[in-house]
Amino acid sequence: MHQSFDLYPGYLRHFDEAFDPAKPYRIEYEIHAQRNYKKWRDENGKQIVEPQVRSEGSLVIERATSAKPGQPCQLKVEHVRAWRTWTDAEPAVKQILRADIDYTADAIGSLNKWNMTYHSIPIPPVKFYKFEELPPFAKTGLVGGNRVIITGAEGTPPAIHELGHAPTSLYTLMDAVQSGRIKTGHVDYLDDLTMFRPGLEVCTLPDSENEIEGHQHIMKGHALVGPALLPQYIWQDEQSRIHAVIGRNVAYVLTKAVNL
Amino acid sequence: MSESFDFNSLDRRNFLKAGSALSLSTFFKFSEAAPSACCPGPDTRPNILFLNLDQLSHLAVSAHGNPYVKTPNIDRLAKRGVDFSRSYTPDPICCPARSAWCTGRYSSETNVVVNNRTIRKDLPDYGQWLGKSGYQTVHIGKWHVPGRMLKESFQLVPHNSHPQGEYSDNLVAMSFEAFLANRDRNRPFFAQVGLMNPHDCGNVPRSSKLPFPFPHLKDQLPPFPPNFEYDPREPEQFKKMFNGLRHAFTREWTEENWGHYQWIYYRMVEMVDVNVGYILDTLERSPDFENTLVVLTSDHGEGKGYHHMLFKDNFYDESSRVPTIVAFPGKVPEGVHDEEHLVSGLDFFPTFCDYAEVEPPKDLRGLSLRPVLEQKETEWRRYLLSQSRASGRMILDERYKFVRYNGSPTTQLFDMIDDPLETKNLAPEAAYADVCQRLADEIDRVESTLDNADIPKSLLYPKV
Repeated sequence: MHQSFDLYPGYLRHFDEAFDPAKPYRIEYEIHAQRNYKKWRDENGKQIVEPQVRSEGSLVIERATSAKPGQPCQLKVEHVRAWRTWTDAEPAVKQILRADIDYTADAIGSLNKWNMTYHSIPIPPVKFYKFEELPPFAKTGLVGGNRVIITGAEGTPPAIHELGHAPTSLYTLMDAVQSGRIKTGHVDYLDDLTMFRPGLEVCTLPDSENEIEGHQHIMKGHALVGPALLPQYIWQDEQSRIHAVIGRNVAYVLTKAVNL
Repeated sequence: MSESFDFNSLDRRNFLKAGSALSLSTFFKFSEAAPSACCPGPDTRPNILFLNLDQLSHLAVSAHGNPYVKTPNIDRLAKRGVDFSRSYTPDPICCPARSAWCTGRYSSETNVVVNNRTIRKDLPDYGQWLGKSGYQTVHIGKWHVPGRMLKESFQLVPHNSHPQGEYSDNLVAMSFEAFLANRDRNRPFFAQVGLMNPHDCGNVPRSSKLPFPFPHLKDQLPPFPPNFEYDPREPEQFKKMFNGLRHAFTREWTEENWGHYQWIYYRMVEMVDVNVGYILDTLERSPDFENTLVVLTSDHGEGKGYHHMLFKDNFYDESSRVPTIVAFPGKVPEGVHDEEHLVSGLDFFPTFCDYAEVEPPKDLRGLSLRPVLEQKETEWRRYLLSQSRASGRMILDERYKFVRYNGSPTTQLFDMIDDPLETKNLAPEAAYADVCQRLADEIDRVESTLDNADIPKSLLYPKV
């Protein structure tokens, strides 16, 4: 088993249903964040309990059409992170990112343009969050002429980034991996479709043999690695489903994968 | 108006009024020495953006000469402001440092001498103080001051949280953008933005004794740090910490494992640097840029293998020396690398008050950086005191660092000019006895002036 699974193997799910990534699909993930790492070992460094992994959000990606290689395509994304003030507290606030993404069904899921909203709302009974008064904050992104232009608040000049490589995102890169189009090479990365992290590398990982809910799987892996990002390990099963995207302290774990 | 006021019944405008009133009523419970409200008419006082990171060592910034990390955005801020080279945390761990920032008092006074002890109720914090003076105060991201609810200190709170930086810091930066686009333009803002990275490097050791998983990138792994071998004559508390780390994590680590740890840490630093850049870009594109004071710092540093140490909570420079960069267009000179002034996290509260034209609370322990920033004559401190784990004290002067812990017969003295990597403990040498005594006396002198909280003896004099 690859070392990137260190924290999370117990949270992976086995799926019996068939799944064809070439067809329209909807994939759903839970976000697991690991905390309280000190309690995970005794004073001799020996593991004593399960790491205290918590579900702290979700990711849903939907592609309503089949993807034709090299052709424009669209994804819908809802990415929710629910936060706690303290480890043992209930989640007190949700941060919701929703996006409609136009991209190219190529080797990395190159971004073309997108509309997104970002919204921060309290989760009752917490009542003192001002931002529930504000509407979702809208942003648009447009790629062209070796630049990406991200427009935010009305009347504010856009953010402009010079591209050294084709730009991708977590969501479109996952689509490229899942659809089998992925090729290794360098990319510029729009983290949360907003934070520009250029010059990352997509590379392959050695296969990983994992037991998931009593079933043996040979997982295929890719990683996004390079400056200004913790390595993101993307693991898929024999039917190309992406089971997990694993960072250092956070993992996206597949809960549902269906063709539409 | 009481603290149980129902905010959900308010529209936006009334919410702001209620927020002010709430802050006011809460504040007056803490102190009768309240500052006077701002003058009538348009309030043109500067905005203040307090950008704080978590576990960023001074030495982990590319502008400070580290070849293993690239921080173009922090470097950019340094180029357009004053970069204090001799800046130290008041206490090299999260809650104590943050409680000291926000009250301008030592952790022994705030009661937060270790993580998760609650703060004294009678000390006002900068959110309350500036809110009372008419500032729109907002907190975004990490707070980590136990016992002080954010709503007592900030009128506008998009969220409070303490999650992992790798999936939260983007949203903290975006929340600042959303705040700036929707803020009350009739008054200045004080925004405390707490980014979490690179804090969670602490989660690395579970697996980093495994081989580095990207063989083709192995040439990026930093070698052993230059003071990996060091003088082991340390206070018992350090030895205990060191032995704990060895036992739990590092005993079998190879140079590749230590390099892996550093490599991960530096990627986390770079991650948050992008978030810093986003926030700075957002501000620079806004009409608020010209009138906003920006202060960037960190609550403490990170051991990252220096002296065989990981994490924080000790007085070596990697853990206790933090970046402090201040920029203010047209008001603070650009590109100044200040190696002269000893700066403490205790200085932020008085600095904010100075720029906000507000009389600070009584008995703040720090100094306003404003005269230094504006290159005016001022009498500055000769000594800087820092505390740790209730029982530890560090004091610096222009040349030396002296460290002592209650209950430990071993003290440390380093010549920070001739031995900046702190490899040779001079304290046991007779030739330095006078220096040690002078610095110990200065610790005692400062400590005798403090209004300390009631700290249990088990913390003040721990068994080691």
